[in-house]
Amino acid sequence: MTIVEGGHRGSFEHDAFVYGSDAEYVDGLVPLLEDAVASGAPVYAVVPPRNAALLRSALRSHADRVVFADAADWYSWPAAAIARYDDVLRGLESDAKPFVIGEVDFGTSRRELADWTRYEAVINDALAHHAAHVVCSYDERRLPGTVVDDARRTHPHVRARGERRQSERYVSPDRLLRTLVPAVRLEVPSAAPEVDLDGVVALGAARRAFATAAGASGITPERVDDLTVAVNEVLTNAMLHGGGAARLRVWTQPPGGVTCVVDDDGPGSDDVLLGFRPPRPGRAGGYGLWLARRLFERSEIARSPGGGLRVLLSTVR
Amino acid sequence: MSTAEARREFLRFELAVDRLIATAPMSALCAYDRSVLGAAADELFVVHPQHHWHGGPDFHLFHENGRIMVVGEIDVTNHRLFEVALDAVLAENGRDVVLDLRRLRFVDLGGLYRLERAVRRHGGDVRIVGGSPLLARCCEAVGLDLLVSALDAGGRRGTGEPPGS
Repeated sequence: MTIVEGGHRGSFEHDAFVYGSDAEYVDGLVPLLEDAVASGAPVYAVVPPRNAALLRSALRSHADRVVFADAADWYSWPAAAIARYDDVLRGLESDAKPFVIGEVDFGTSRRELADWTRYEAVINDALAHHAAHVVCSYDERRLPGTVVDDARRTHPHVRARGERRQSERYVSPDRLLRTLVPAVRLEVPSAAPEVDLDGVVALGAARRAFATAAGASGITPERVDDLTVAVNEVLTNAMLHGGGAARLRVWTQPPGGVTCVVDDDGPGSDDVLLGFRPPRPGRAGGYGLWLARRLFERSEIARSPGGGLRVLLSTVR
Repeated sequence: MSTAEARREFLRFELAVDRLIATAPMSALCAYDRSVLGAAADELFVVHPQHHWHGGPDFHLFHENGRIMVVGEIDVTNHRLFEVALDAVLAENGRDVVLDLRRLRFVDLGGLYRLERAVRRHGGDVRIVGGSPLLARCCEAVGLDLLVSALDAGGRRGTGEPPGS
């Protein structure tokens, strides 16, 4: 059976659910899960193990109809989480609208907090082609007040104390990202790079230089292969759309750390969502930056101080 | 070599010769004058198993043990040539084709997309042997379903050795 994306299953819905106790968590989510199960919809709970246990015991036999996944594995980094949701939702063959409960950890550093808030904003656009209802849980006891506050800007609907209402403070992903992405994100490491190839035209040589540096930093050969494909795509983009030349710089931070920056001579881009939107399967282009974001733990793509497009990719969060 | 049809015919002829030589105890050396042939020389060049052209295209397509070998590196610098050579080699073979990618050192996503497109145009049963796990991961990541099936048909992670050899 073929599902027309965004078709009869309805549209993408994205709610924030703020809770302050275990009882509130269970009382708020279990009725939603039970309704979804009763409707025959595919149901997913991507939550920390402790909350999975709370839901399982409250759901009893209904728990068998819910697919549980550990949030720590799922939300490894933002683009990887978007890719997982895209893969799962694309693969579903159900007439009923999928129902998902998710819970992001948000981390502790300023960058992690900003990255995950950016993620919550981005999926309103990046997953908009899927009919699905996603409810994101926010634990008031644990999360900084600013993060809970931002949930009202990144979710079109907010649930609290048994009520679901439209968030008056919701802003478009595009607008939110502009306030979240300071220039500091594009700063390159201060050390001298291991690799610095300016005006790269020999793609093969650039691939080998990157692979050698990544391998030397202790990344497994299999992962080096994957990352090299992604870096090659970024360089290809720079050659095709970025004025024909590119500068590739690579820094290593053993064990396992590699950071690479590709600068081109093109006009840059004002699209803050570049590389976050999943490409349509089988299309000729558009997957280079997507793959790069998906494979590297950290990715920043924006206009550089020099005016061209800068793509910063790193295995270090 | 004045028309596109003549160019395709010459390419087909070279591929037929290549298949013959691959199964017969003989060898041949073909010389092309780039000043006469222009870009057509590149197309003819890549369908030879061995080459003597420093700075030429980084890949080759040729017959060996009844399969089509793809050797070298495919990226944006040779996409067009790759597709022309693929179309020619697939058209010159029958419905059942085995593509051996064991010696393909690198292929980018655009190269895989062109491979999928050529396989679709060919319309026959194409099996891919010697495809690396990386190749399979790339095809899955970007949704090239036809190549994923061709990899499955070829045993995906197999050694790519012909049966009984």
